Amino acid sequence: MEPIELVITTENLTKYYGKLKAVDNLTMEVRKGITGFLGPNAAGKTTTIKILMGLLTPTSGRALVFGIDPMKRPLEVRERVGFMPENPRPYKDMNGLQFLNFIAKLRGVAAKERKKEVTLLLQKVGLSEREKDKIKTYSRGMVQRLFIAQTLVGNPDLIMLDEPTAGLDPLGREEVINLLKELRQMGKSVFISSHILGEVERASANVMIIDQGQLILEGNVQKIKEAFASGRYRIKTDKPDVLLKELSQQSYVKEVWTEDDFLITLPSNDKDFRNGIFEISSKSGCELFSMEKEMPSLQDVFVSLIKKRGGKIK
Amino acid sequence: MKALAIAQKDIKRLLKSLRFFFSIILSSLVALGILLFSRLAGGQQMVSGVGMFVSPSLLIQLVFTFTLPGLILAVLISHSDILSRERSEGTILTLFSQPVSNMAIIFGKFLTMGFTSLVFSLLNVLLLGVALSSLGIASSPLGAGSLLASFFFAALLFQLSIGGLALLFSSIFKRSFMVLVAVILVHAFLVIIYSSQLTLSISASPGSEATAQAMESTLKAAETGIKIVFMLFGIILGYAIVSVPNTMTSSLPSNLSSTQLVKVVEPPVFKFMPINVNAQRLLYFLTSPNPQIEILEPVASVLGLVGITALWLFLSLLIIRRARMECQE
Repeated sequence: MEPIELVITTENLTKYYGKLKAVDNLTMEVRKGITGFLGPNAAGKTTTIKILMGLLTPTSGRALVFGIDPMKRPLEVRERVGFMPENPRPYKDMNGLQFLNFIAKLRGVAAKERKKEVTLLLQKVGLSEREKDKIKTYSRGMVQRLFIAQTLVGNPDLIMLDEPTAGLDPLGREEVINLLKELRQMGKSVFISSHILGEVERASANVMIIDQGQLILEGNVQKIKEAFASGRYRIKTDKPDVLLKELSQQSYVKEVWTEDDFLITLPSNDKDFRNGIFEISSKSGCELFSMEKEMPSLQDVFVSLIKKRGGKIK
Repeated sequence: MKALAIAQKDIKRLLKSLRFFFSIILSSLVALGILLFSRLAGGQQMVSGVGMFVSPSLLIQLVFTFTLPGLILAVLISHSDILSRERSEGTILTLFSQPVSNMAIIFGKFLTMGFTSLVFSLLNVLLLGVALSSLGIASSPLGAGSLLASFFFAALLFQLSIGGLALLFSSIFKRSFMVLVAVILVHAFLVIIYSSQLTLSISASPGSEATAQAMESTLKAAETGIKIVFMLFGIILGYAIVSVPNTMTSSLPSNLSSTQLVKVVEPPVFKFMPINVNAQRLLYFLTSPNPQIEILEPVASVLGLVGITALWLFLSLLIIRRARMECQE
């Protein structure tokens, strides 16, 4: 069995801005793979990421990236991490090719490989046709894609993206999500911070949710959704009234009602319900068109968690 | 290597900027204006409007001392935004998030300064060469080539020092205008401290006795407005045209028109400060037929310039380190 490789570790990480506590005793472990770092606005995501990049000094606690302390050895961390800030600011008087070339020089890519690597990356993010145009003529989405490309220069071990879809229109978001999926296929470790949960849900395997600087939930996306599932089933049948009557008489059904054309059932015993439903429908002559367990979205999980903490969704 | 990449990026950016060419044109015009002015005035004739007598050796000094501050201004204008622009546009975060040390960033920026200083120093030497040949007094005990080379070296060092100061303020302020104001104020402060010494320096030039006397009588007779213009001109250019006080004139050696150097008493704190008094003396020393008299002084000036440039860079490094550690947009 392969040992679990920890990419990021924080221990009681705390950061104050004056009297404001931005990060509050944050302890987390991020493993290899794609991890979403979620939270509402001002939850402390960007502050945490900047500490991880060695761009901010924590007030107390410590952070490690690949076991390296970014406060003590920031250059080593930056050599292994490709970073895209929340508001990417390129040199607008350069063109895309020049910008990536410049980044490649800073990342120590050998002159022989530079041109090939930069050309490939521009192709990957779909900017080849615009590579010689000034960045100031690029759309916001193109700048985001260019910055995702710069995170890949020099083939870093980890890619850290802070709100990669912020300010993008739906089409731009789709492009970025597709890129993230490609990164997943390439086997890259990616740490994505976002307050837009839908997109992270589509791209990440694991999530960390923070609020007011504290970690409130972590784990595999699918398992979290299952844990927060209501347990209700949506059933589509040709005779909803008949099936409703039959189900309401069963001991393993807690509640049942109709909603639009669907029959909503909340079983008291999930296993008995799944075994019994087919028998009942067959006996009562009802045809089952579809039956699915209602799963919450990550957004639903997030909202319920924040509400439980007495917080407001911004 | 990384510093070179940063410098390369900045130099490309600089060469595309209008302000760089504006600076070259501005400094060239200042120098050419002085030349034209002197040609019109001729040897010992009176210059209309200013009432200044010009001797050939003093003219060389004037060309140099007027041109050098102009060139320094040009370097400042070209570089005032070298770091402040990165900060105001937020590109500094792009730079900070790469595996680049603070030292490489500062050194890269300083290399860009070096490039510009080189361009303007070459321009300076070119203008001086034109001045010398135009006046037909290019002869020097050290030879015209070494004279120009010495000038080039002095101008380069001096501009690098001012460039270092601009880099320091550029790391503090986000607005390039603030950088310009701060550097000019520091420079002006040094000029004010030195004003009496500048007077002495001019007075100590061969053939300048008559000039000093003429300047004194002209300024005494001048209206307040003209005096203020002279003062402002001196502060902005980092050079002061002042009349020689009677007390000072009388304390000077009687053989001012000869080629003998005058020992100037300096406040110890400012002895090695890089202001153009030292550059003037270097020129005077080099054009003098008796050049070995104060041979150590230019060396001390060079050391002072190198030292103070290193100080500006060190302070810039401290500031950039702090900016990186509290990197907030």
